[in-house]
Amino acid sequence: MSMGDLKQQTKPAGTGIGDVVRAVGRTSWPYLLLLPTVALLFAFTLYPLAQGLWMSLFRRGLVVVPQIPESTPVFVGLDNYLQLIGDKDFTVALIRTVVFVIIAVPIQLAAALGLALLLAPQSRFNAIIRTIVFFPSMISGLIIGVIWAWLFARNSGLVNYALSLINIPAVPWLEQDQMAQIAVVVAWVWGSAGFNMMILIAGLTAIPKDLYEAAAIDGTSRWRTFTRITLPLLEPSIVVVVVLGVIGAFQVYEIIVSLTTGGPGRATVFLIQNIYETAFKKPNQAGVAAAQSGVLFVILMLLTIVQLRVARRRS
Amino acid sequence: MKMMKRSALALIAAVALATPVMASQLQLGWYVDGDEQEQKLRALLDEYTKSHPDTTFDLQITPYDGMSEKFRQYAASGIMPDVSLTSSMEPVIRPFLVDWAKVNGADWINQFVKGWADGAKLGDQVIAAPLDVTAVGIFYNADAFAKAGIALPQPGATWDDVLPVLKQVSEKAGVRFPLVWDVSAHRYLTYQFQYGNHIYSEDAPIKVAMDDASWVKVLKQFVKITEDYMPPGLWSGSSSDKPYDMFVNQQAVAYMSGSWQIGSFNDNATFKWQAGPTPKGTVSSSNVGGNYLVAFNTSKHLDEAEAFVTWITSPEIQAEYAKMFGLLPANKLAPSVDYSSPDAAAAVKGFQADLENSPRYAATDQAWPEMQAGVWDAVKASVTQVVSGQVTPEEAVASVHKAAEAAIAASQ
Amino acid sequence: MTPTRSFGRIAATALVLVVFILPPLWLLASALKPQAEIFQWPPTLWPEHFTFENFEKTMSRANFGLYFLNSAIVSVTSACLSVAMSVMAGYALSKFRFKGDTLFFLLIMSALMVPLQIVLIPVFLVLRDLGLLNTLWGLIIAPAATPTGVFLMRQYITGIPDHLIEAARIEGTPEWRILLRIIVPLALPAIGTLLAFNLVWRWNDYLWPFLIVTKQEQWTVQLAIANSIGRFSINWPRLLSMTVLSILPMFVMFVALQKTLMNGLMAGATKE
Repeated sequence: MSMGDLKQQTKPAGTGIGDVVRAVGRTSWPYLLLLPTVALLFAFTLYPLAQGLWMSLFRRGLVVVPQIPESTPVFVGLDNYLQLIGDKDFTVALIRTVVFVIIAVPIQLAAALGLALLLAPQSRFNAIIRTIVFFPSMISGLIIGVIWAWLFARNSGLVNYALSLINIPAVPWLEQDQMAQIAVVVAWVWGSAGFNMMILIAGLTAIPKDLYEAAAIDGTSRWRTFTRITLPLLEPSIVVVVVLGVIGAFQVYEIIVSLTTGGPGRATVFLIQNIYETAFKKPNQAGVAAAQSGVLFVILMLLTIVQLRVARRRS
Repeated sequence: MKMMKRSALALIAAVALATPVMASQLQLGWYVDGDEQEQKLRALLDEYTKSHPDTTFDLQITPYDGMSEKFRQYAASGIMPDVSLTSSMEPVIRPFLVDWAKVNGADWINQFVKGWADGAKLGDQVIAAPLDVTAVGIFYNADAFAKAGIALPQPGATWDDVLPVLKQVSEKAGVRFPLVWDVSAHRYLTYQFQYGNHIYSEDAPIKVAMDDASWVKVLKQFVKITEDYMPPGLWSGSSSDKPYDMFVNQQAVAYMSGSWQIGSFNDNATFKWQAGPTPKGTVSSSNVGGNYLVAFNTSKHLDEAEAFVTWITSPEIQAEYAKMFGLLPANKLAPSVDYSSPDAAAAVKGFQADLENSPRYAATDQAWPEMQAGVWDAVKASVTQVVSGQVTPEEAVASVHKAAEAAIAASQ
Repeated sequence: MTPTRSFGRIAATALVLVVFILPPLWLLASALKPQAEIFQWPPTLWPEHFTFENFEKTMSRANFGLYFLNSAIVSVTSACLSVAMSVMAGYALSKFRFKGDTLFFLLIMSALMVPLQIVLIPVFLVLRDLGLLNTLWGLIIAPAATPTGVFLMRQYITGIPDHLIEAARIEGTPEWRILLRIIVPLALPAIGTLLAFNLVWRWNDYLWPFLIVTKQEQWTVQLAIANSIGRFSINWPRLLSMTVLSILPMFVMFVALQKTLMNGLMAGATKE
């Protein structure tokens, strides 16, 4: 695929469909490219999302039924947001989630990077290992939780059984407050490592081989090669992993449901679980749940913008 | 004139012939516990179609957990099936439910098990048809008792009598744990019922009837039981131990669960088991549960839907239904069910008696719609948080009390 | 990076293998056990009573093949649609400066930032109004726009040198040709990865089938798996065996996809 091929395939200016498009102008081309994505997103995600955020200005349940006059939403303005300040359940869940993000995302990145560097080289063996590492992405969150719960079950789990064979008493991996937090981090990193590894591998394969050859000829150390060539050129992919990681970590839920159900007690109730419980379990609080989602939205939007700015400045 | 009449008749005849007699296809929303249940259900539906050829069925299976979301969708969109299985009637769906008092008369509901039937009443209306009931109760591993050489508990035994015996059996027979207990608010509440505690008043107007001090005392007792007799951490809220599997795998001497397990024990247990007698506290109490059938008044085949539901809740069919699924019939007039095994038959009789002998509040607590508004979760959380040391028993009971009050306030 | 068969590398790979192989192994082994053995104590990793009965039961269930077919049709079609849209959008956002470019990007990303579960009702109503209920097309189109995919392609295409595109423009190459003949081939590793992701995402979708499908003839594999979870008990044999069968095609697809697209890249294109 060289420039020469392209030259021969291009028609001379003045004939063909290409001219029509060019005539319309390069200005409209990006909009056309974006149209399908934005249209579909709008219909199925953004429009309902806007409705959801709109709900946050009312006191209401999830469903408004004309036959039930009490279900009519009552406008309360920013009341739902202001009430969140004193809402202990919400603030505890929020703080717990923030701590989780701060701890888990860097670990996630390190793990994915390590795996990518290890498994990027082409070989059939590596392809199979990569698939095994990617395995958690192929299964539902429920099964992931079930598997980890089976491994770490206090009384029936494989790990404690193995420990019992060497006379170590059962460890409450999931039933003790701090250990449960660790279990969530481990399960989450394990569950998304494969996905992030694949993103980084795609980025690694884009780095031209001759750069490495040149560095080898120069006698550059492995570490220097890594920090001066690999990392900078890998940055766009790293940005994906971190940005998506932050967004995903803030919304961790499915894996927790099957791993600890928010327990022990309520020690692993994170932000999303709190939102769902407010919306589905408490009467007439859908507006409050929407306000909590609104807060989450603002946090994520700000964080994403900041991260993208930082990335842009560095490149 | 004759010509016109003849043409008119011909026209009518032509139209009548051209319009096919439409069979009504009833859309049924249903949840099942496994493949076999679904096959049996389809067999039952086929049986109905044989005797009522105009009615066919479109069975829409949904996971149980998804039912409340489905109901919300029905209410919001106006698109709903003709009939649905459900375990509770949420406020949003109530305007759409057929009133059975109008269809079958105000006395029709009285033929069903009282506790469960009360839950179907909304003022003067009857918004659901009871289909089957379940009762909470204990199961014993009879083989383990035999191996330990200890007699099974007798009716009228209290928890104080039975618990040490369970421990003895577990030690002598080499069974891992004396007791496992379904981690659910419904099963825990039974324990409170057995000491005279309940959440709501028995009669209208609804009030919170909790004696907090008594609740705290009983909660402390229960937590002690989880520490002394149950697998460690079972009630911590994050345990992945599965009581059912542990009992079936003979890792527990006794299992506090309910009548719905009869069918699967029959199929899966490789040891001799016995249902009950359930130990009592100061009073003997079970807890009622089950399923209802609701019909939606938006249905285009209302007559057929009503006929079907009336059929399946009639005494003879109830006996058949109960036998098919190993459940207790909701209809008291159902003839004695011929269960396949004597163990199952004895178990069912025992559970039905337990329900009959439970105090009134065991039924009424469940029947109040306010229970659905977050009270169950508060009850469960109260136990798990105390077991994992996050709150004191006093705080836990207070939060249940608060949730119960909030539910009443929300329904005003 | 030239693969070095260093001891460290082999040890690390072995460690990774152990950590990651245990769970899938447990899944497979449990699916091969009879029901009574799955949660027995002491636990066994490898089946004591090796049996295929779970798989037999699952596969003989009526319509089983149909669920697989539905899932396959939906996944493949939606994934292709999705990748195409992501490439287009990613290209637009990375190589063009136009009014509202940041806004569109943030708009697309914002779709990831709110939990969809509390707006299930509005989503359901949209599906109803567009006539997509109870159709496979609904399952294909509704989730087709993936912000993650757009983001991935945007980042990757950023790394494609601008001068290649500029040169083509100077030559008079039409825009669509630039996209097809320059961008796509150079973005192949990311495209292949994204295709694999999309296939897996759509195969594992539960939300959309739950909302859209009521007739059993239109069930996907995930709906069938979800219905193993009953009110009082989980049908483990069915859940496990169906999950294993569900993963097999993805496993095979994933391994195959890696080889073909990596080979395609190695064969020629170098960026200068």
